[in-house]
Amino acid sequence: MSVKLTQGAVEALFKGSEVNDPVLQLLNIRKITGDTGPRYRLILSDGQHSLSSFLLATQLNHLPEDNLLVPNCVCKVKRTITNSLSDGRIVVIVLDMEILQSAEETGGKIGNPTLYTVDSKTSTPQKSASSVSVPASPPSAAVPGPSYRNSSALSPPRGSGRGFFGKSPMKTSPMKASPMKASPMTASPMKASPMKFSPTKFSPTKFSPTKFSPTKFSPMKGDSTSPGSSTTVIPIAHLNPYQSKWTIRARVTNKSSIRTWSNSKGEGKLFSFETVDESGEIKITAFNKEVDRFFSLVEQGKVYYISKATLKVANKQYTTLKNDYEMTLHAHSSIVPCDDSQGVPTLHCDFVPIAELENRDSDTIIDVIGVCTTADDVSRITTKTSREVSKRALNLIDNSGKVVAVTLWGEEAEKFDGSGQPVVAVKGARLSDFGGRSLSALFSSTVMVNPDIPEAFRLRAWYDREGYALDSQSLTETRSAGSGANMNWKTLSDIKSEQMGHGEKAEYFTCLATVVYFRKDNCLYQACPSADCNKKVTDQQNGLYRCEKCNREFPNFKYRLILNANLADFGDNQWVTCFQETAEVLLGHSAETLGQLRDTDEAAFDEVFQKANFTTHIFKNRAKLETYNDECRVKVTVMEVQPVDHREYSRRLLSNIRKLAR
Amino acid sequence: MLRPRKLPRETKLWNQAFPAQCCIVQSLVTPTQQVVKMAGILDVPKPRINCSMLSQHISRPVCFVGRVEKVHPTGKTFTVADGEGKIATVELNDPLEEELSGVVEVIGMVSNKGAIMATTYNMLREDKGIAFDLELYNEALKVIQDFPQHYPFEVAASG
Repeated sequence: MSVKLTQGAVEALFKGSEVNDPVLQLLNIRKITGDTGPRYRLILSDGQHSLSSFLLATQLNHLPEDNLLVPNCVCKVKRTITNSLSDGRIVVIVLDMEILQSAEETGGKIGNPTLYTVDSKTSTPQKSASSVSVPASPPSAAVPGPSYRNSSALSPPRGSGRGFFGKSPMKTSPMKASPMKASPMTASPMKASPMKFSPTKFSPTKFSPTKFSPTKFSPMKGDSTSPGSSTTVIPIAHLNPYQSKWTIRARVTNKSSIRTWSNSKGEGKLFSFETVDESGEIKITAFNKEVDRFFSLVEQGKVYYISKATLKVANKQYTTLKNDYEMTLHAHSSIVPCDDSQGVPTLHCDFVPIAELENRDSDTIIDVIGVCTTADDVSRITTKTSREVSKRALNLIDNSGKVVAVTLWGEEAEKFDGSGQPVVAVKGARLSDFGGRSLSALFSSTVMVNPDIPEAFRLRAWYDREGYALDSQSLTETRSAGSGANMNWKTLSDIKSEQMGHGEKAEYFTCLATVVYFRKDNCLYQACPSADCNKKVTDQQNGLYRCEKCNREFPNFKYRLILNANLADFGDNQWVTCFQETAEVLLGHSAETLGQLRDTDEAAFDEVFQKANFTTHIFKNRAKLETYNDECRVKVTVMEVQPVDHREYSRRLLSNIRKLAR
Repeated sequence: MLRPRKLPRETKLWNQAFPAQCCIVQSLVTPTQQVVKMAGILDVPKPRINCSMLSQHISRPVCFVGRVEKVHPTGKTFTVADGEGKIATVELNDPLEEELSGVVEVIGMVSNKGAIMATTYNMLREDKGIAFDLELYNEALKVIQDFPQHYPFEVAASG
């Protein structure tokens, strides 16, 4: 018994028009692994045309699994839905079908179906030309066919769709009706491609290769028909060193300046730029001659077609982009400006709210965006390598209400204009724990002032409404009240119980304590008047004072303070030493004044100490083990004295109590 | 007139947190008529409370710190809000002689109706020193309530 196939049904289904229960023959079936489980791809024929873009709905998966749906059987397709994929290919999903006749009953292929293509005048059935192996159509493989969007050879594992050809009209024969993809495909293992229709890289030997035309059609990404390079564009994420003929379309996000070097092998120059497209980003470097060729062509923010460069594994030291590879341009590379930049994002930025910076580790590369509240002037610094570099620090605030300091270097520092509180975005800055938390722009960072991204507009709006009035807390504070990493709160009893300072290194800690005694007998000494020299001078008794360090004699000296005090808190007390700066803060008078008072008015001198006695402050101290005449003891020096902020201190106590209670 | 109360070691921590407050009690100035009445209340421990604790201290002497909300036209009663925002009423024996505003510390007995019958009050001047943080004070009150074993005010006062 022979059933009649519904001729023209394939064409109709493909075009999405209504067909009433067409009867089709299954020529082949292939199992593919989809995201949700196995899917079956079918090649159905109506006797006139065959089409491989049929996908079996999962609810019908049991048909092939139970061996009901086998090649050559005839079935009635009762319900379908035709979808077009984002890249233009059409897929017909079979939602309901009924087996009319089994393969055995049918015998063989009915009719002489040709592979359906857009241009229905395809004549040559695939099978004739293709022998066993798909790619074995050397003519087509060899002809990249400029008028086809054919990625002439290796194309990434995308698009194993069949036949959706876009605008290029099909030329007939020698070129197979559908562009073929060449060999590596067979060789390449069936990589699970993100497409559902995945890699029909079928090893043709498996099935009657005749029916399958390995037409891979490369998806048309962004249609720009730039005449010369009609090669297909692949996404950056698919680049790898094993393919050599590809084109990417991407926007330049960061272009560096030309750097020259000279080492034992000679001299050279390079410049690099980073590019981004919808799928990812990659860094591109040009050396020597290519620098001359491309430096003026490549402009930041513009979109280009780039092809024929070498890909190699990225040197993570020099780049912070998320790509395993990086590109080097060579003599055959081509960069062509692209007009149609639809869909190519401007920048891939992963902004971190400033308040969260505290939780990130230092030395990580971060992107931030904020409004520049203040910017310091440019200063010139000499680095350790004796290079002079300009630097500028600016403060950024964002809608988390926190402020952080960002340091810009070199040309960027010089060019930066912080007037008008612009929105500044920095991509690829390094987070450091200098002064708590701060950011530093690296050579590879991009600094954008008032960038054209939605984040920037949001920040601007927030700042104009509320941000400008916020009295926010900077993460980069040098004051101890900041959230710096240098606050190590201890009580005086901890010094003995934890044996602080006993290790090799000095230990720094902060405590709240009250002064209970000043040793005022020996608090002042006569020091060398030359700047930076604080050595004690010996009184020569002839009106001159000799400094051993400077090896000179002076007619005068300056008074300096070394104050020994006893601090106490509820738990313990501790002798500490305060030098000039801290002693002056504690006593409220300068060393000079005190020196004079001591010589003139004893009562007033004592009064100063009386007033300062029993005052409570926050002390930042350093504890270290020191040997003095064979005796080892821990000496504590006061590094900084600050008034007590009762509120902050209370809050800390409350939180400590709660923590202890847990 | 008033002896500063001896405070136990354990409460030193609290005093570290609120150094201003340990001087408050000492600065009360009392009118002569009230001396006898006052002497009674001032010699006993007066736990510091907020509105939520009022009901547990009925007929007992307490110390309540809060922000003045409204003063009754007669001047004999006014409302105060505590650190949590809840309101309590304070009743006086004699009408107010001055403008009352800002944070006040009221010492008195809690009536059956939950109002405070004040024997004396003290205004914490806002123009002097550091502003009083009522919310922080409330947090401290909660700590004292949660850990009475560390804050044995009653025992100490009688000792």
